[in-house]
Amino acid sequence: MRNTSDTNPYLKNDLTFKSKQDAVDFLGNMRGINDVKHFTYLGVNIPEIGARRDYVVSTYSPLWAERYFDKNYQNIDPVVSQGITGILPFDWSPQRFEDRKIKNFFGESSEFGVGRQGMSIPIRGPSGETALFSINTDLSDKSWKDFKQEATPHIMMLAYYFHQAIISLESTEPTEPHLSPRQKEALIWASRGKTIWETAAILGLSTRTVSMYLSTAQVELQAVNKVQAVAKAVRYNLLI
Amino acid sequence: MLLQLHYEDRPAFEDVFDQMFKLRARAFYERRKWSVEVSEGMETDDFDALNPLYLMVVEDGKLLASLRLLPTTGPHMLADIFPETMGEKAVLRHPLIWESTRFCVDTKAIEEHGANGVNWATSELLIGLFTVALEVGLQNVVSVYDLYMERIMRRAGLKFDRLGDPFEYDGLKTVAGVFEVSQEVVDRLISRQRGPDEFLPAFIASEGLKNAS
Repeated sequence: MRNTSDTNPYLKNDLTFKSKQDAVDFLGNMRGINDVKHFTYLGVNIPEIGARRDYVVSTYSPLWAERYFDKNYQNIDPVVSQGITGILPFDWSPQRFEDRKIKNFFGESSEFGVGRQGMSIPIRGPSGETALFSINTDLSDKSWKDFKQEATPHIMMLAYYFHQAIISLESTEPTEPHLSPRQKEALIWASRGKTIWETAAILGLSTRTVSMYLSTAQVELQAVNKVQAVAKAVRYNLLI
Repeated sequence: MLLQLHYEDRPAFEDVFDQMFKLRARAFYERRKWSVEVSEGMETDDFDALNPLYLMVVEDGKLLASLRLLPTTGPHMLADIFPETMGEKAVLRHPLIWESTRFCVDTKAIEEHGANGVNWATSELLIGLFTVALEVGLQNVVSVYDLYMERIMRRAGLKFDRLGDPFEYDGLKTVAGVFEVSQEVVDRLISRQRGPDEFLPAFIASEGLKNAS
């Protein structure tokens, strides 16, 4: 099984934003990790944000963002129109040359520094909200294939963590994490330095199930690793 | 052939979608007597409105088996319909764990069996599910299933554990499970269906999948 959180190059730092600028800076600081050129978050249907419908956090030049919304490019951008509603990660490249309008759109986007390869991750949140998280790079076709295989799960994790951090930033009521009894047990044994194998033996569960409880607890706590998960669980008084 | 379609693809694939919702009505309403809503012979629910991804095994235009996938980060059945299976009210959410529901196979299609004794359409759908899950990079699949399926799933080659104790749902013994997603599982599913002499490397199955979609 792949360890998808502790080795994630995009989830090294805590995602707690005090302002929207924090969120922009967070993405900005990640530029260049594994050749990613730009990150964009697009919240489409988010009750916490209410009437402000298109909620954008992006590392693109403000000029491109201005042009994009001026020209209503979200209506022809295949990334938005096709990527947002499904659940599968969506590679931009097969879409590039379909029709002239879209071709022009991609041509123009590259003039503004948008990378030649990109993918978008649709996000679904607990209350039914949806968002889209996109990255792009200038990798060659060959490297892009390798990149996708390696990085897609990492970016899916980042996308959801980023989304949750935006929800926390924008919602008026603080969201309290909840853990199941099994998630608590798994975290308590982790805090005492037990390995997954040892915890599995203690709890009479398989290592597969213990890993699942630990990783879902980590996601619930928005923690980037086990140590941080334990610390947050203690802070929220969840391990008693 | 395996089809991967979102609900929004329904207009372009109306025939297989209608077949799927009719198969679901036969499998869950008529046969298993679940209290699901059927209209015009088709079973659909609120989760279909969330534009899930469906996997469908189709041969010569005829749908033989299908299932539905939703990410656990959003609304899904384990969180919204079956929370009691978790023992308490906490919900398991993870971007790399998706939920499979409405797994069903046409009874007329279950005559043909693979080397593992599991009917061909069931194996095909499981191979499709775990190949797609592996390609996306998922860590696990979770599902609520009938208890009697455990024996079949184990024989097919799946690796899984129960999450909590079995419970009665509409008169049937039901349990939630967590399934491993790995190359090993995909290889096991394929080799056990084909038998030891006809082992087909997983990448061929996954290429076939891409062409079909």
